[in-house]
Amino acid sequence: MKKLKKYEGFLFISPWILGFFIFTVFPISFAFYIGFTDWNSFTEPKFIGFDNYIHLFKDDNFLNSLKVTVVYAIFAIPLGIISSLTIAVIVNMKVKGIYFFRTALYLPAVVSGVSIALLWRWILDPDYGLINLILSYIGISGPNWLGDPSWVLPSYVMMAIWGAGGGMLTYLAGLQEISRSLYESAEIDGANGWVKFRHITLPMLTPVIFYNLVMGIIGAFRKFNDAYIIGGAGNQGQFYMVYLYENAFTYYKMGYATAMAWVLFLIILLLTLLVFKTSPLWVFYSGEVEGTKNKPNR
Amino acid sequence: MKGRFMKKIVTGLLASSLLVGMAGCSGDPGGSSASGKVELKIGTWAGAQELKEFQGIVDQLNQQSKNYHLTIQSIPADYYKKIQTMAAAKQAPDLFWLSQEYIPMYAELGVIAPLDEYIKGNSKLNLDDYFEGPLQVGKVNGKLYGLPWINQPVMLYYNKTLFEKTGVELPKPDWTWEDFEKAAIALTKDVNQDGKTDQFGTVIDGWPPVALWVWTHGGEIIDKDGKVRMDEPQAIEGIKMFHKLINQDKVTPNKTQAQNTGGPEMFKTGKVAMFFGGAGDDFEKQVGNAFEVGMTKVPHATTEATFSWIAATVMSNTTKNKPVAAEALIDLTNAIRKWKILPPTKSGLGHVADIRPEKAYAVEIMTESSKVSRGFNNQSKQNELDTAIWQELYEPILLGKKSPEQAAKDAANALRKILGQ
Repeated sequence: MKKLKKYEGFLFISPWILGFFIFTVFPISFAFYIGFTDWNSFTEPKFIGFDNYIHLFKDDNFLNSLKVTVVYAIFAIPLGIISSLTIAVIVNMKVKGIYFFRTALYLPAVVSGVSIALLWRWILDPDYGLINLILSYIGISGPNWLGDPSWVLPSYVMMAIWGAGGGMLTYLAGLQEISRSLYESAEIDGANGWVKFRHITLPMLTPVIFYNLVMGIIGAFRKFNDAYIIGGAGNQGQFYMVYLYENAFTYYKMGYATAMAWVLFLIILLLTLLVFKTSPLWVFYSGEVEGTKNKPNR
Repeated sequence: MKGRFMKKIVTGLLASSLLVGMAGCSGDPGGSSASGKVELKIGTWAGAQELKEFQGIVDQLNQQSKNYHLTIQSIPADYYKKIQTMAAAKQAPDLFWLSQEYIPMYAELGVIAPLDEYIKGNSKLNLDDYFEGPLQVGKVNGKLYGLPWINQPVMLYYNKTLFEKTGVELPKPDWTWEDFEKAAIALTKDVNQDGKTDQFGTVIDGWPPVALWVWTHGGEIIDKDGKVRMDEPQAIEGIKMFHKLINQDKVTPNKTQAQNTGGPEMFKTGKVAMFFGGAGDDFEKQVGNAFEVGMTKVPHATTEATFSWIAATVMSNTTKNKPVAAEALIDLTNAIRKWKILPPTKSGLGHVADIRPEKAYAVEIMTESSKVSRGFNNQSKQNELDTAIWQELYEPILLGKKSPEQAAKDAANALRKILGQ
């Protein structure tokens, strides 16, 4: 009787344990296997060893999608961080009506990705689009954004920056956490605005930047929604996930697509690890200072 | 004591509910119902109003048949993804609709069953009544896998009012591409004189398929035996005309503009004079009194042909009672032909004026087009082939980045690579 009672607890959480095994552990292990097979999802998977992974690096479309995604990430992530941070610093000012601007700047994060994509398709229209209209007022004949292969990626980077208001929120929270006393003591020492930003605001915000960098890397490599809807000339809108999706659901190459997913997982894992490894060099946790370094001196 | 007892009961209930839940997952497709009829599911992408109409057809068939009872499984969004998942789990509907390009793959993977032995001798089916083009797409390696229920040949719609206003002679059924080109050039104009063209002869923006030009010049993209022939002289002739209309004559709006506004929208609002549209497209009603819509055959060079959107009903290989399922498939396909236009059969065209009175004026020309209508010589990797044609030929030509010869060569090579030739 007593022995049985020991297991009662497990029985109670069994729906969750089962859920974890059925919906998480099993699919992941199955996907690991599928990556080594030729599988159209209809018939039995055929084991082919590393063929999928070898073929990946001979596949021009794969290499193109990887290149598109990496180039996008290189530009979109830093620019996104800089613009989110700038917006946050601006809306952190004590100005009348600032709540209105905060809300307005955050709006892009609330709208569904699909509607944003459709909206941008219009904004980027070479003949009737908003951007080229404004450019025409100052005598510039705007490019055929999504229709010209060399302008497709800049268009995507621009769209990403437009959504920077979404990232603003975490920076804003970080900014408001910074103690006034730090600024006050700097002011007494005669620090100007830039010096205060460079030596107080920025270091104090590095944990938030770190968080946004990691999320930004994951987000950039997983880019799908707008790319799937908008596309882009000359394959320049074919991001990694779009090509993966096409392989799985249009070409029925489930094994190949799964191999792509594992490669993507490895890329994201390595980059995230890299960021984590370098973080002691540039991420500053105020808790550390108060807790360890400063204490002996007090 | 009471508390412990309650706990046990709850534990027991939880465990048993889990078991019940799991047991509920296994279905029984194609089984028999209490009435003794074979239960069949029909998968369709029809939704909303279309679904209601389809339900009416199915209800009537259920009443008439002693052998089967059909239930509709409506999948209005992500149709092929869901069918794929269901087929992978051996749970595909007993019967379902497939667009032409999917038939060879589904057949070669064994997801769908050949119909030949089950339809033999069924008096309700007359294969001779079918037009050759649509019947052909249901065949894979000599066996019939799907019975087409719609055949939508591409027609040339034109804005009669705009032609008359511009003083251009109306399109004729025997038009060559040169006649078409001449008219398109005359109709491409800057009407409000702001330096930008705002009225176009036609629209080519990814639609219609380049096959329209290749076939009407006597060429083939991939022939019946699966051999790539896109870089042969006749095909290149067609691609040259396609290229000329877009890049030299500039009778079509640019790709981005056309795709944002939508080619059909541009035609309906009078910005485009001639539109390649499916015979069943609803232009006559939608345009209303804004202008008079005309319809004729697609122009040609050496060969008369037109691309056709064709869909068929197929039978799942996992259905339990194939003879009855095939019987239902025939009845259903026959019934749909009195509902959808254009029907893929010669006799069916007689119903067009009843189904859609506003199309009555064009029955003759649609019949002519049906005779020369055809689908692709679909391959099991058709989706990949279509992407390659788009990437190597269609889009580069739209963007003016490749010569017709280069595009044909690149596309042919890409197709060969996919097919392993």
